[in-house]
Amino acid sequence: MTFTEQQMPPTFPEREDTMHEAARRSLISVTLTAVMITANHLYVLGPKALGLGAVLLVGPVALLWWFRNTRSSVAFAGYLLMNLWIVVGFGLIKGFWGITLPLYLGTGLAAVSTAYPKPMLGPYGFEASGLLMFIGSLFVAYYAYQLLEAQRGAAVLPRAPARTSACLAAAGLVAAFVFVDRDRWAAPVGGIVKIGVIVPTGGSYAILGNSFLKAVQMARDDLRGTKYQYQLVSVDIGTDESTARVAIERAIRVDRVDAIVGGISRFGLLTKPLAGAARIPHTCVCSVTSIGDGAYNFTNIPTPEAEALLWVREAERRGIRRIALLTRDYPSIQGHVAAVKAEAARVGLSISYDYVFPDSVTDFRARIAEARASNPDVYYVEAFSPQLEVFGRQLSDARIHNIASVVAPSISEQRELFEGTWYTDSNLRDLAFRTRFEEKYPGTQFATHMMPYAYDDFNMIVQAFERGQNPAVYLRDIATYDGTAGTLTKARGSGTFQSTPAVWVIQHGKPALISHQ
Amino acid sequence: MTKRMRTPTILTLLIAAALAGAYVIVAKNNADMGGARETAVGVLH
Repeated sequence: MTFTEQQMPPTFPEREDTMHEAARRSLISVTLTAVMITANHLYVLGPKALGLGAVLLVGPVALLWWFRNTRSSVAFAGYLLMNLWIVVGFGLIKGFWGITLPLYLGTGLAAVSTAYPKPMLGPYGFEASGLLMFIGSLFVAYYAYQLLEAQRGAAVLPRAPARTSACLAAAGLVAAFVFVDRDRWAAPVGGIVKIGVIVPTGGSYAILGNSFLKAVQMARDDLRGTKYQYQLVSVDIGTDESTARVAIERAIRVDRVDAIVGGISRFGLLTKPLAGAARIPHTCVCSVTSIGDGAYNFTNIPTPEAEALLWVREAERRGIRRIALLTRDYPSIQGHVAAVKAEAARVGLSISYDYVFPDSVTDFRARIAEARASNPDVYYVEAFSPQLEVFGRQLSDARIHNIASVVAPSISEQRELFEGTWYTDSNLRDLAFRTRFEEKYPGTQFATHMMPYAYDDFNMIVQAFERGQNPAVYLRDIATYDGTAGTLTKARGSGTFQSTPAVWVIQHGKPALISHQ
Repeated sequence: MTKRMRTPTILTLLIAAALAGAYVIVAKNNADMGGARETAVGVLH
């Protein structure tokens, strides 16, 4: 065989130089990508990610050093296998399919059609490092290929087909994502729709949780002539977050629920990522609106801002100018207080006294006297049972009856202590709903703050199945819903159903809707 | 710009644009969900 000058094969030193250069570039790309992989996995694994990073950094260096010194084919194959792990495992599966495609394509698809969910995105650092993990893996693949060529001294694959294959593979992955990402209707197995009811029913959640559960049972019992059977799967989540997570996972994986109705933000936050991962809708009677992602999770309850707007409007209607605040140092209560303060300031009402107390306080008499000295027109009181009742009794002893609140008197165990107290709470379009509930479940307290929403949430999911629509897509599409708590509205793309609360008063020991009097 | 410099420059600009785009998407996504705040939760709701 003869060669022209241009066709001459590389000499041994030239081939060594090429190998050296290719190995150097390959190792730089592997190192930088390993740094990105480590950064990305810090968000998921925490400090354990540093161990992964150490393996990805030390392994390739050691194998290449071994190969350089011994020309061992085992070392070279090991190095290429580590490259393959980085490219396929971290670059393509995690970086491209798991992060880059949802970030750009998933967001774009969700913007044009509600059949596609808004992707669940992590912090920017997580998304950016995931994107760089993918980009880095492309460099790793490219330089590993060059290294292989340099080692063999010849092309591994013809250039043009290799390029075409890579483009076709990328297009195939994109097409597969578009197909897989779409939520489609699937008829329930055996004609039975399983709806998980996730709400705590013990401890301090007993009143709310049990009446929530009963409201959903009533909604199911009210169904007539439905195409499918609706089976409630009551999930015993206890009151502890770790046991709750296990129970929720079990409901999704073992009981295979088709949808979830839940309540209480603390548990809604736990359910959110699990429902999203399982791609089943989760409605939550929760005030933490960030739970409602508009993809699979939806919240349904008046926001503190909506409560405050109505509370202050009612205060103005009653000629109130000065407000004394006596409230428990609890986050949801302080959420109401902050919203009331902001709205009061906006319309020019003044706060004459502001006392925030912990749950250990049992003697309020000195504080009541101080509040009285500030000459308020109304005493805004918010706490939980049994402290609420202790406080209510001491206010009554002090002959203070001009009391107002948000929600609290509704769930008091002794409402008669708050006779005449007005407060804002969820609306009830039809008071007969409460009457029916109390007749059906005589021993269960009707918690206006949650019950109508629990009932409506269940019915929204039923409507989706009866209409043959994917329930998550159906919820995304709802703009208004006429429910038992009045008309709910939801902005396009939002996961928060907005509703207008109502003003209530305790009358004869029971909540009475002022607008219905 | 030399031909040798063109490819790295284009790649750097593309990566920067991708990172900037990701920033905008994540910021908008968080804003849509109420600022991604983990509001304290309460017994009441």
